[in-house]
Amino acid sequence: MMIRKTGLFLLIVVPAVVLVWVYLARNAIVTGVATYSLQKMLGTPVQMQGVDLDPFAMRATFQRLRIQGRDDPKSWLLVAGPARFDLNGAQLFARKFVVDELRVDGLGFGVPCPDCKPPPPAPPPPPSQAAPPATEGKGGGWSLHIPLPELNLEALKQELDVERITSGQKLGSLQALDQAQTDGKARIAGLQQRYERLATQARLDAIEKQVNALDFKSKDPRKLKEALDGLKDASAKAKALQSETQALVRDVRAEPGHVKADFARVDQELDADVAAASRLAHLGGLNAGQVGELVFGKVVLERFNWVLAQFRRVRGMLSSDAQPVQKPSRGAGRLISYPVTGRAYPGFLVDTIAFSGSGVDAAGGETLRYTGQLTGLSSDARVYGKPMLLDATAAGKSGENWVVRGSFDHRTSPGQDQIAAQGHGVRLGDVKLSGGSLPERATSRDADVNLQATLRGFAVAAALRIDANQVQFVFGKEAADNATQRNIRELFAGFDRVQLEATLGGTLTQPKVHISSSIDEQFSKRLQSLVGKRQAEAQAKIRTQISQRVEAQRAQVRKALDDQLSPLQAQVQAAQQKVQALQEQLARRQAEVEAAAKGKAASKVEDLKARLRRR
Amino acid sequence: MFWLKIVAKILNTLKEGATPAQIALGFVLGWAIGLVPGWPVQVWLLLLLLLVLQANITMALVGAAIAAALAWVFDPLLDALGAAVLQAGSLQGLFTRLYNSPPWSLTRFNNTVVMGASIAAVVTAIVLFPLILRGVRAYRERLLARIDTFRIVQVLKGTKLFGLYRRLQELGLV
Repeated sequence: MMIRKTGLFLLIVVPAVVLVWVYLARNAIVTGVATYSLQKMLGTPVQMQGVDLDPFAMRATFQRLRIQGRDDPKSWLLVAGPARFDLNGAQLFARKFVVDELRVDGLGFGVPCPDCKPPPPAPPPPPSQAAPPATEGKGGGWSLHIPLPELNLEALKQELDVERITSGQKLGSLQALDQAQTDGKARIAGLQQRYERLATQARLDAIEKQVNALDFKSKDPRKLKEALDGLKDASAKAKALQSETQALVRDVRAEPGHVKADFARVDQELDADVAAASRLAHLGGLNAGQVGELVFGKVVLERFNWVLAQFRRVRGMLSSDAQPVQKPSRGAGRLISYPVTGRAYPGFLVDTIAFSGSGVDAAGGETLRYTGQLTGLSSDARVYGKPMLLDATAAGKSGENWVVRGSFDHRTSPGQDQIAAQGHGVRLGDVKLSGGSLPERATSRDADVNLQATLRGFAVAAALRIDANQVQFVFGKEAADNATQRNIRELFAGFDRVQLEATLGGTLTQPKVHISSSIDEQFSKRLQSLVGKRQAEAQAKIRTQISQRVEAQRAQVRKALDDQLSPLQAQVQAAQQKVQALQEQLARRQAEVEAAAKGKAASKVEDLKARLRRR
Repeated sequence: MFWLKIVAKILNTLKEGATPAQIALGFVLGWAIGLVPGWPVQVWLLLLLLLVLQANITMALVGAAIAAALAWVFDPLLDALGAAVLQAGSLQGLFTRLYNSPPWSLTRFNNTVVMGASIAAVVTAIVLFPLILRGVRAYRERLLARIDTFRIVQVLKGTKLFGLYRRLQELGLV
């Protein structure tokens, strides 16, 4: 009776036509949208082929996805396919994006592409979209910046100039001296204020005035007692003043001790300045404990930084759905939750990602074939209830094989991430070393690598062990310039097998790295015998130069503080003596008055007795 | 002028054109749409009904505007009503089943204000529909002639805008 026929027609027929058209063109639409979005996002050509979307089974597949490299246009940055996505359709109603399984085969990175044309230059981003500065984690940076020692034998021959080496930066010891002066001045000023607030002279005068007003000559015992009480009160005031004065004297006497402690900190900074200047002069460390850092520091930090970058990436992916609780606005209402009887899903979940592929070398040859599975990539591990797990293996034709396992558990706070990688027969390729007077790089036939890393909150613990065979060290220059360098080259030529162990501890803001290797002892001894004496002399020179600057300024600071403290010491001392004298005077007076009162009372008693006897 | 146009249109709707049932249905559908906050699936269904059934759209807009204003004012009350229903012991089993069924989340039934407003919309619609029906009939039978004599109505009818509106109506353009 009351049906709007036109409305009904528009509401049923038009959507039906649109739906049929979308269904028929679905694959072309998905290909177009995905290609356009990826190209826009990456700024490089993208090819997608063989897309098939089945909306009834909630399944999507593609045969080939190829993303051209932006930095290297003659290679594919990523090649993948065939791939299959199984989407959980029911969860879309709950606005949750859940992929039950994502299977990607034929994964390849850096695959050569001889026919590729360079991508058009990307337009510069508008200021608002410019690359953000490197994000810092809550617990600090995600990259280790640890100063490493370097050895430059040429530096031992040069005239050392600390001013030049430190590039005009103010030394830590000089900064500590400035701080000592500022602190000392502030403390002495505080003591001066306390002395002024004490108002010793005014209080002494008041006590004297109070005592002078008392009548000790009266014959009336009650008046005499009142005078005695007044004297006792004045004595108590003098005693209080004395104790305050003594406390101030104690603090004033302790002040030189504080200055001494500040100067001790300056000495510590001086040692640090000497070490830093030695490092900047590339004098290196010759002890066995420092050789590991000297030779292998760079490569170890690179590896640890790579691991931290993976942790950072994973934490970014596992950010929680939980939003901060805010007071609901009008009309927003409150959400009432009920027990979850079935399986709970987070807002985003890829339950299983299965992948396989192969790596290629520069010539396009296959290096490693790998296969693996990542489970539980979710936006809220608490809801998902399980940690994200990675399990992957890789093997090469040359016998190289890898096992990588990872667990990224963010069900509780703080999260705990773990990665363990074990490689056998690994081709390390060219390993960059510290260079300078030492080898620039190293090559080896094969190596066993064992890496374990754990990040709990921002506390990091990692261990790296590399056991390399048939190692060859390569120096920057073709030939040695002098006998010392020849000696060092001969020494490195003698190492065939190298074992390297490195540990990383502490937190991301205060990391501690320890590196040791099988060559430490031997190399240290040889280096000591070759350049130990010259290095010690160079370090002594640096110490002398820094000490001269520090001592000159220390004398000025000491004089300035002494000039401020000495008059105060004299004032406080004088005040203490005055208070002491008054205290003694009052004690004597009290004794005299008490004795006199006692005598008068005795004579009164005798007089009374005599009167009684006469009666 | 915009308000005059709206008042004129409402008066005209009440006077002629739509039947009392179309007016009442339009009003209660708009009332329910305006009362429920956001766009849960039930609001879309009501919109669909409004477009398919020959309900009066002018009155639906009036109903929605009044209901939205009242919903804002009575938000704490709707929130309390929704919370009481959602936390009622005897209904826990039902709501738990709905909560664990993803399609029901489209209704946002577990939001206190949505639940409170949905209940209030149903109850008030049941009450309002016969009242409006009778009201429109009574208006047309008894009040129309008297209201036409009101000064404000004559002023409205005397405006150029109203004249233009009538001409457009005669031409079937509005």
